[in-house]
Formats: sequence, C-alpha cells, structure tokens
Amino acid sequence: MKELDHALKLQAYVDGELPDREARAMAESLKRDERQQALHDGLRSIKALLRDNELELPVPETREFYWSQIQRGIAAEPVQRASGAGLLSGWLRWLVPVGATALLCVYWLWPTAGRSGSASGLLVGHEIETPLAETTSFAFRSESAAMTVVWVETRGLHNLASGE
Amino acid sequence: MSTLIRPTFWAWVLLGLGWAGFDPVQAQEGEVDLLAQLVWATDGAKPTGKDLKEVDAATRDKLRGVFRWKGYFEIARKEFKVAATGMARVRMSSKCEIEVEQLGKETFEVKLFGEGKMVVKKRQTLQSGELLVLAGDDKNDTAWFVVIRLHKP
Repeated sequence: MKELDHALKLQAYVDGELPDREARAMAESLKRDERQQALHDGLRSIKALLRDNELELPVPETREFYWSQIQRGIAAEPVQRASGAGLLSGWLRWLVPVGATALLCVYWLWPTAGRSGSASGLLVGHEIETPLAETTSFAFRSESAAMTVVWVETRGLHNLASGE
Repeated sequence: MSTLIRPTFWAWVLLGLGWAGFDPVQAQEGEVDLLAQLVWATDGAKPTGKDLKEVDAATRDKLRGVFRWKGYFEIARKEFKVAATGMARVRMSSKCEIEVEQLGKETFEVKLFGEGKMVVKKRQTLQSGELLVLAGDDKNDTAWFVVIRLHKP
C-alpha cells in the first residue's frame, strides 16, 4: 500500500502535479534510491512515447462548426425528452388522480371494509380502548347470536346496573 | 413549466384531498334510531322489593345463547337518535352513561362511562339485528349488560 502510494506520488511528480516542496523532496529521494530512479525513468519514457506518438484525429469541419453541432444537439435534447415525457406525464396526470379516487371509492363504499366485527370468536385488538389503569377488556363475537360483546373487567366499579 | 406550478396539478391535488375527507355514505345517511338496554343478570331469584321486569324474550334468548346466567332483568331502556356524524349521551343509571357517535354508515363509536369516567370505548358496525353488548361482572356472581342495537320505533 505504501509502495503504491509512493508510485502514485512519483507519477504525479513526473506529470508535474506535486507541490514544490514535495517535488523537491521527491527529487532528493530519487537521487538516493536506484529503484525509484528506474521507475521514474520508465514513467518518463512512457509519457514521452504517448506524447510523441498519439494519433491525431482531425475533425473534418471547422472548430466553430464542430462545436456548434454539439451545442445544437444539447439544445435539441430536452425538447425530444419533453415530447416523449409529455405523452407519459399527460397520462400520469390523469391516471394518478383517477387511480387515487378509485381507491378511495372502494374504501368508502365497501360495505364492511375495515369496519365490521365479522370475525368469529375472540376479537384481538378490535378497536377497543380502556383508558383506566384498573380496567381491562376483551371482545368476542357470536355469529349465531349476531352479537359483539365487550367484556369489561373492573376493580371497584360495580353496581353499574343498579346504581346502588 | 414545472409540475408544481401547473394549475391542473393543484386542481387534482385539491380534488384528491376533497375525496379523502368526503364520506359519501355518511353524507347520504341521516340520523339513526338506537335502543340501549341496561340489563342485570343473575342466577338467583328475582329480587324482592325491586320493580324489575324481565327483558324481552328475543334479547333474553340471545343473551342466554352466549352467557351462563339464567335470569335477565331490564333496569333501563332508552330509545334515542344519533344524527349523521353526531353523537348522543344517554344516562342508563345513576352510575352508568353511554355516548354513541355515528362515524359513518352503520359505524359507531360507543363509550361507556362508569361514575363519570370512561371505562371503555369501542368502534363497531351495527346492522339491523346486530347487538353490541358492553358487559362486566357485578357483585354476588351477577353481571351487568348494556345492550345497544339499531331500533325502528
């Protein structure tokens, strides 16, 4: 890892990208270390080879015409995207509210959706609230009697019926 | 033009919100008639010195089909109305009150108060013939029941 860091630093030195102080330190280091010097020479050779032998691909048009083509291409792109997306967003503008409205209709118009105590037997967590600490309750349902019962267990709260 | 500043976008948002808060069932339905009975159940004989009458046969048979007590006596019988999206508070005895709120078509929130304190709250769909029974043990192996149902006067 340290060697890789050093090699990358040497590459930066060859490319002239090191700050002056580090560049000076690297130059001193190269004088003392032959392996580093060999790597340095190799990197410089590669750099020179690339620079001298890179193929030039001349653009047939003038520079201004070449870049104006690119500029026109960039300017035209959002228009194309907008026309494609416009069709889609046009559909979405209708589909999203219509879909949401349909879902709401199903929810509100469904006769027993989420509201009915139609399950048989013990109704667990069936929208019962017993705020008093000394009170517990449970609910059950008898289908045969068409009856939902909330049984309340209270301590110290009797005679609700008689009022005595 | 950004989607957020399109008037049609906000029109749809408002329409959607309007739908969310609009309950067509609730809007169509008016007030409902309800019947609440306070019932005391015992295995013993009818207490002397108290003017108790047995609950009607249909209610008694239904209660007997679910509970173990043999005798069911009606302490109070209250007929009342609940407006659409409204509520009614009914005193069943000196210690017992109920509050019934209509939340939507056939959907109610029933609160039972004992000595002024809310003992239990239950949301329930009530259709014709359905009973909601709030009940609990009473002294000497007896029990109390508040039987609530839709009622046609």
